[in-house]
Amino acid sequence: MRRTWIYQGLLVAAIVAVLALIVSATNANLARLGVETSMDFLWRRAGFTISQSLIPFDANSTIARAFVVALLNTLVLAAASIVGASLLGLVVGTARLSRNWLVSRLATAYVELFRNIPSLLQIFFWYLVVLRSLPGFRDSLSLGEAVRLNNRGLYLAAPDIVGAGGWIAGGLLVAIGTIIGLSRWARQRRLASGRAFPVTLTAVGLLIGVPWLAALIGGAQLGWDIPQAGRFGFEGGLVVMPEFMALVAGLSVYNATYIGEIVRSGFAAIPRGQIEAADALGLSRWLSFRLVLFPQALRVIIPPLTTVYLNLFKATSLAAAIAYPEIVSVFVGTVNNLVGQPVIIMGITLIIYVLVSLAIALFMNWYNRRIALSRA
Amino acid sequence: MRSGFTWQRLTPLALLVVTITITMTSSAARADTLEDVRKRGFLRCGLIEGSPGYSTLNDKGERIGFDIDHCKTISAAVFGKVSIEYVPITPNTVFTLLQSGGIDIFPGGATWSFTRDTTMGLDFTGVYMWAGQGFVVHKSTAVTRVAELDGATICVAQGTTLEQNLADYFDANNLRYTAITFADIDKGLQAYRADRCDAFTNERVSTAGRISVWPDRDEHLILDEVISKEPMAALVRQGDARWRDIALWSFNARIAAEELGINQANVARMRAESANQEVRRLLGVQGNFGEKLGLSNDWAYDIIRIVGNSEDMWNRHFAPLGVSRGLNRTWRDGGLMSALPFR
Amino acid sequence: MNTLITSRPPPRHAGGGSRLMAWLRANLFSTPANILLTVAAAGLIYAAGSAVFQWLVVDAQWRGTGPEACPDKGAFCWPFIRARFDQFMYGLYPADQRWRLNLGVGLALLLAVPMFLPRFRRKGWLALGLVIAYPTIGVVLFRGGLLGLPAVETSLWGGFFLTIVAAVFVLATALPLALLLALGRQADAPLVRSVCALWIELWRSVPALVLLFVAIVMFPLFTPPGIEIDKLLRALIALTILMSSYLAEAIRGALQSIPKGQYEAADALGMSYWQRTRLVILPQALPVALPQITSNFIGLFKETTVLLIIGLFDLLGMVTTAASDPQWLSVGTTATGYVFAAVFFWIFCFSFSRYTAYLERKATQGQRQMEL
Repeated sequence: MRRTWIYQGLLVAAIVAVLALIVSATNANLARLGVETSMDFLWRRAGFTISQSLIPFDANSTIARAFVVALLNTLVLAAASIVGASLLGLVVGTARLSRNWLVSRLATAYVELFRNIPSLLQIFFWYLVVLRSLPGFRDSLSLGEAVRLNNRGLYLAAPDIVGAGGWIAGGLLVAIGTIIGLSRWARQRRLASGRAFPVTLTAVGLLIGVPWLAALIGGAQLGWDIPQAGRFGFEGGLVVMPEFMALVAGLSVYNATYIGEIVRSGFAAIPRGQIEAADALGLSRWLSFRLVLFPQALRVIIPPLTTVYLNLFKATSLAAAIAYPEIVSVFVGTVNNLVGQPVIIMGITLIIYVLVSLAIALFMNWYNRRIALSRA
Repeated sequence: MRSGFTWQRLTPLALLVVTITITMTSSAARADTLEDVRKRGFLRCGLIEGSPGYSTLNDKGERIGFDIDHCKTISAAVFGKVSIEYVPITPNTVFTLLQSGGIDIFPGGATWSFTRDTTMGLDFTGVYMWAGQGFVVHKSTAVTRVAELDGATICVAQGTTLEQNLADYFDANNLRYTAITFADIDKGLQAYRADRCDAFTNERVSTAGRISVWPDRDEHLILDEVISKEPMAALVRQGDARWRDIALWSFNARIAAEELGINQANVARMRAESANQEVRRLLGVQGNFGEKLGLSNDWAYDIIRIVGNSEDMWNRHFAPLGVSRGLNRTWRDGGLMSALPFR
Repeated sequence: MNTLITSRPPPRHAGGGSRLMAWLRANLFSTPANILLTVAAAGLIYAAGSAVFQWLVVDAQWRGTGPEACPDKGAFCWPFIRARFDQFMYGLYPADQRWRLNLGVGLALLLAVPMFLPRFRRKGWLALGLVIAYPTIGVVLFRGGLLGLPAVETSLWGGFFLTIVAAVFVLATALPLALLLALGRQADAPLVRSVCALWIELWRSVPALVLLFVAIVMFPLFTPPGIEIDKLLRALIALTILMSSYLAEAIRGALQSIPKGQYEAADALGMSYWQRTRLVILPQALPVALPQITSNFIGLFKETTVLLIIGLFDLLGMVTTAASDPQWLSVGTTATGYVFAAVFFWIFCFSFSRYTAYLERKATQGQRQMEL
């Protein structure tokens, strides 16, 4: 036994030695080249702009702020793609199980087609073929004045919340807290007396109503930010870049094939007896789906779904190929070239990806444990 | 009894690995690029491809261009002939490849700036061209001056001084804009051409070159104004003084040749016949300037013979594109190019 | 008089009518909702199909050479493919040396065919030979510089050739590494287990593109000066590290499916760790892991497109560069190029996925389906 420990110790020592050598070689190389390794660059003036940012950013902001903007862009892209892929995947998965021959074959064709084409190719196709073919600014496709679509992006009329941001955020928090409390109370009431409470409807009402009320109380001027035609294009409103749309479309379509298969296997794993029992109890189609089938399918779906979500998050890095400003594009591209600190920048990027992947995995695992059968 | 992992096999392997790595690092870190290049037998020259006038392929598949001639200059100085491995790279990897040794020199259009020189472990080797950042716009936008680009969408290559100059200029002049950044100039230009942007910003001369091959080039206008001066110089890594001297004086030799009236056509005759002291020192007839750089005394003669002087180079690559020399003429002709003396 | 009434087969379907009508009624038109779905699906198929037909057949330009042959800027342009086909397949490899690529790939296919024949016995040895000997042959043949073959630098490698080289090289290199990692993750020694687990989990959280950037840009900083690694090799090493984590998980799953009794029986016979692994565990685990390994290979094949972002032009990269040539540039040629590349990838990936399904069926043959 002692011998095993000695050898294990030697293995770890060897690994540590190799790592130390790499570190010292890197330091030696950087010193030889006169590159100062420091994190000071983060507080320098950025000197560039970013085409899409959720928080205010201009050329006078710090590089650290640029990093935050890029990180937010990455998260928004990942979230949008996850939602898109999940919805599409749900549709495809249930279509695969449909008794309608045409519908199930169509879904199968979809899965087999898009799963075998690389996702970067699909993204390029959406970006360079579909979105580039959209008309120019002067011939924009419009839905009244509120929605405009052209080759520079999708312009939507948005509520103008300038000055009311803090109140709205506060209102949202209050609404979420109330909803959590409300759902707990409703559950207990249902267990005790059997009376149901329309939690979902109330929640939606609260989510919209409370922040709106808070904004009014805060005295903010609420208006609509409508896209106005400028000299070169539309200005104002909510702008969705074609790069973003291409990425979400490409990633959703591709990953929906995997999610569709996972959903299908989830529902196919439910024993027939469950469906028949639900029928026997007189549950409607919708209720038997919501209360009996879906929870059981979810148990089979969640573990492989975690992998797909993690892959989706990592795939957002492909945005670097089409100029959407997420972390790889802004940090490893622009900032690294301005500053020349590859070790630190790469290090930070790697750490971010590991941390966010860990967060996603932890959340999914927690949810998985929560819905698992207690005695399985 | 459970068998454990067999460590007898693993320990010798671990010891071997440790020994090898120790041996590898005991070789002293040398910053002697000239020796490395000589030993290798060829120069590693970083290139940005696909830029008409600077770096393209001709019909025979050979590389030609202004940047190629810079590579040939250094190769001529070191080897007396063309012995080059061209390493195609993208702008966002230039600096790290130079730092790490993947390339020996990058002649292709980097602007000499304070930050790049002092904090990135790089050295510049003398201005070989005065460029300026300009704009190309669709004629359909009816824009003729930069000030009219208020509110426009502008395509630009990421991580370049172009991006920074754009931000600074528009900020100082209270102009709004949206920058769409791309990994390289080609992608940015294509996006501009496909009407993703109203304007594209890049160095004026190279943009003129790229547009010259478009079938629809008449639908585009290159604005006269420049928003920055871009002194272009070749890049080498910091810490090797001799290599930097070689590069700097090699580029300088071409300008000196133009001032002294030496060009590719008459260099042999000048070497044989000229009585001008500086000409004789430059072409190696007198003095041993080459040896002082660690090269042969024919170094400058080989450069002029193979590549020509600065005027030859311009006429070969940019005159066909219809771009005038402007500030790139020598000081005697009203330009900014002035050779350092060979004394 | 008694007559025996012979029994007749039961009516095959309710309500009479032909078999086709009955099938249609049951599958497509059974309920109003179903009818709606069928109509919607049929409408979708018709719309998509006619658009594709219009683009691919009616408006398309199939004949001719050169950019002038495609006057319609939005249409499918086959002359584009024909003009650049060599580049798509071989990249910038010198034309007179392409026979080397054909020879190399042909040799690989020839040697790989016996792997797919069920009757072939010596698959293990063949696999070993391929993994060890072929890379050397490949490097000599493709890279050159030896035996009188002129050297072709890897920056000229490209197109589909590069895709295949990258995928096969990465798989061949990652498999042994993955095997060691999977075994290490199951080892008794806790330090070995943690190191392997850490390695696997670390690389699974990192996107391929970021790892490629790290490899291209930072590997040279990690090594002492004077040691230089070819750019393609750096990229492939990065992909190998990534792949080894995924493959390690696949193999680990297979290892866990081996009943504990096998381990104990081998121990009872007095086998050492390596004997047990080599003679008992791996021969059972690898066939079980094979479907997962092939499906990972399909993923790797598609992942090689990422190489274009760092300047190594695989098939997708060559198509993108070719489509941006000013003479050809238009939405039509871009679409043509991508459709061509898509079809190419699709054929390969679909065939492989069919093979994977076949392997899975074979692997679970004889096992009863799990009853929930």
